[in-house]
Amino acid sequence: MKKWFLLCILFLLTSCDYKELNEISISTVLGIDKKDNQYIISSLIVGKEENETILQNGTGTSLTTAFANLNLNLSENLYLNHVQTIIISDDLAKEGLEPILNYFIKNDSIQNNFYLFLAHNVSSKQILETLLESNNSDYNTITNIFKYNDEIEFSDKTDTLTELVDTLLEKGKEPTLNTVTISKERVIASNLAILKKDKLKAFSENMIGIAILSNHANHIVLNIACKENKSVVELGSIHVKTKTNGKKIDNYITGNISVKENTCGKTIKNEKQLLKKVEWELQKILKNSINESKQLNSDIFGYGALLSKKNKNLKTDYFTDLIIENHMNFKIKDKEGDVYHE
Amino acid sequence: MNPNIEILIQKISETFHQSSDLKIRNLTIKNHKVAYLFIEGVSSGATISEFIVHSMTYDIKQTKGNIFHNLFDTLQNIIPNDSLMILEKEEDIPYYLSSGFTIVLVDGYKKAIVLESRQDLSRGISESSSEGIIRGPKDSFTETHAMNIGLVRKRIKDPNFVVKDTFVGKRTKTKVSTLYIHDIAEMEKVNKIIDKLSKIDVDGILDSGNIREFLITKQKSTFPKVISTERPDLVCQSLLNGKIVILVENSPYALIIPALFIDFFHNPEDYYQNPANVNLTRFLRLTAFLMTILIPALYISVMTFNTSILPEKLLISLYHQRLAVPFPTSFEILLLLIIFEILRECDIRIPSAMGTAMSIVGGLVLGDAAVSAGIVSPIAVIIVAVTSISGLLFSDIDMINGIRFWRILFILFSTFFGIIGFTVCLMILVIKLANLKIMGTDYLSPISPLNVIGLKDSFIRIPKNQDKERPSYLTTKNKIKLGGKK
Repeated sequence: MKKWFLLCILFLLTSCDYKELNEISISTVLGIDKKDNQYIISSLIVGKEENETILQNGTGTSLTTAFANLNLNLSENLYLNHVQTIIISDDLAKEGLEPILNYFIKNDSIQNNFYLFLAHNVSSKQILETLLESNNSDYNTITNIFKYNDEIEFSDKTDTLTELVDTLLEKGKEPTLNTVTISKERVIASNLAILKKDKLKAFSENMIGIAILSNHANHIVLNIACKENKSVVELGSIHVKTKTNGKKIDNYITGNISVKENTCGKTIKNEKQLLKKVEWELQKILKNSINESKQLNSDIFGYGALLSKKNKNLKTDYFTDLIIENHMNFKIKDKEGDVYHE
Repeated sequence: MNPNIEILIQKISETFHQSSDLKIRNLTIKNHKVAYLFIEGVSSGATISEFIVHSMTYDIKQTKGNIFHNLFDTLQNIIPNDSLMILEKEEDIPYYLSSGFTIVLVDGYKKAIVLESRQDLSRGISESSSEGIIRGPKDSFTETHAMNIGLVRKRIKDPNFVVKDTFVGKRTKTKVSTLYIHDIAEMEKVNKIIDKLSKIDVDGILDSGNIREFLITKQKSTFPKVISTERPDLVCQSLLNGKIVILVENSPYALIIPALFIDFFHNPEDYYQNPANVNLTRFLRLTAFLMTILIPALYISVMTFNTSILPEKLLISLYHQRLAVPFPTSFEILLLLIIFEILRECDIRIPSAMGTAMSIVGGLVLGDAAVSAGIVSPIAVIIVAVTSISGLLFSDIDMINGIRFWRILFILFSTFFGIIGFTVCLMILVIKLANLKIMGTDYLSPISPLNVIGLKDSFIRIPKNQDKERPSYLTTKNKIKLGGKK
């Protein structure tokens, strides 16, 4: 009796999930656009031959119908469980991401740890086409673009679906999203998208500042201008500690400096001067980022969440008038080097 | 016993149904009718002619006067023989005849003289063929019972080492010896075994394998509850640990009782090597055990139910490999496993001259051709190869068969229920193992129930000079094995 009971439970738990591996079409990258009130879903699908990838599209008034239409074009069932990246067009993001996020969060045939990107000035279908043409149809090409970004090493800046939804649900914090665009027939990283709630507000060029203030930048490379030339300085182990008294925000930024190239010659005379230059340069970058987000009234740094702990009666438009002060405390790492002149 | 020699010979001859290998010779010595009987084949003709017949015909004439009371006494005293016995019961005669003894009958006496004249039918001590070893004693048991006991006795010279004989089999009258060390083994268990052996009522026992089923009857198990080995050093190690050994006449395999699950991960060689290296070997054996049981089932469940747990690159690689294969994954694996099992069985039975041809065909069919023909995927061949090779790490054939049974069970659970079925099957296996008991000892000792002393020689082995006690699940008597009195 016990054995039969066990068998029945096992059947109820599992037997519907059976699928052979050669009866599925594995989708690796998805692109979502909206045109004339119709969703267009493009998908990169693992081909039958080795190293072959195909692009398939499906349209529909809802995401469900678009996926169903996409499936009709395929000989096997579309398998979404291994989708690594979803690219959403900026037009769609301006309308609001909520319907898309809702669809994927509730859909159990897709894992929620895929990366979300916005397509900047191009449609996501074009991005997928470019990926396919440049033989970069590998599913993690796009995430790699950000991983090996020359200027900034984003530690975990690329947002997965769950991270984005977490940020959206958090009070006093607005999300940002990485964007990609096409340049010279290659997919490259583009400006950072700043969102207010689930809607795209603007694309920001001040990515470094945002990354530092959000504590995502591990190390950055900074150019310090002197009269004609410039020196290249690397800032490492950057860490921001944010404190508040309920009215104003104090950012204590620590880190170390190492000089990579010095073409300024004797213009940078000593340690103190170097520190001063770096701090001045950094202050400028951070101010720009803060001012930009203040103009958009989008608290992407999450100061609202911090303030509401001290100040229960926080106004809804607290961010535009918020006083934010940045305090720097950098140390020079390469003291032995002959890179600046006493 | 009938004193009339003619009637007696007639009776014996009838008992053997006038079998042609029963040889009867009649003599007349000092006006007395004398006869000697033996069975050709089991008796040594040379011994009979040189000693027995010579004494009866020549030496007897040399005995002057009347030293002995009668002819029977004279014969009994002048025939040179190391194990001369006097029989008084008629029904014992067939046993001694069949065992190779010569029976001397003298007319008018109610007894017979039994003389040792057994033919040496042994093949000599050779190296173990089924349990290979690199470092350690190379000898192994043979079909000769006395020699087998001798191989153990020469290693354990303690008078406390005891051999108790029981005769089993109505027709075969096979000698079954129970070996134990009196002051280590628990007598309760020894008596239980001897009692069980004496109660066996069967017409024939031809190998120790026949005895096993009569000894362990309570719980059925696919994993062996008795170790069968042809290595005398393993037998001695077990005896010293308080285990009991059964040796069966004409069988080169000794049975060691009780066998615990952990014992199949041990090898007598482990104790002759550096303990640190042995720990790694034992870890490999455990890994191989898990791999050989679980890998095909895990592969099936991951390929058909739980694809999502695969990393992307692996998934895509597997996807391409599976595309051309027309069969379901589980059928593919089962097919390959069955072919491999057939090959293995062939390899044991087939004459060695044909082995090379078979391995070429087997290797090609299993490996290259099946993949090229698109019948199976390369990864399935790898899975089956890894599974099979891991399974061959165990030398005990019963263990291999037990593993094979569970492997198939795991495959069936995974085929129908995916990873959940796999987990349930794993639970069933652990529960089954934990539930087993052999003569009061838990099969999973010393892991469950936990026994710290036993753990010192389990999946790890601490050096012999630190291993002081025998674990309590084997014996509660005389626990100290290092230092102390004995």
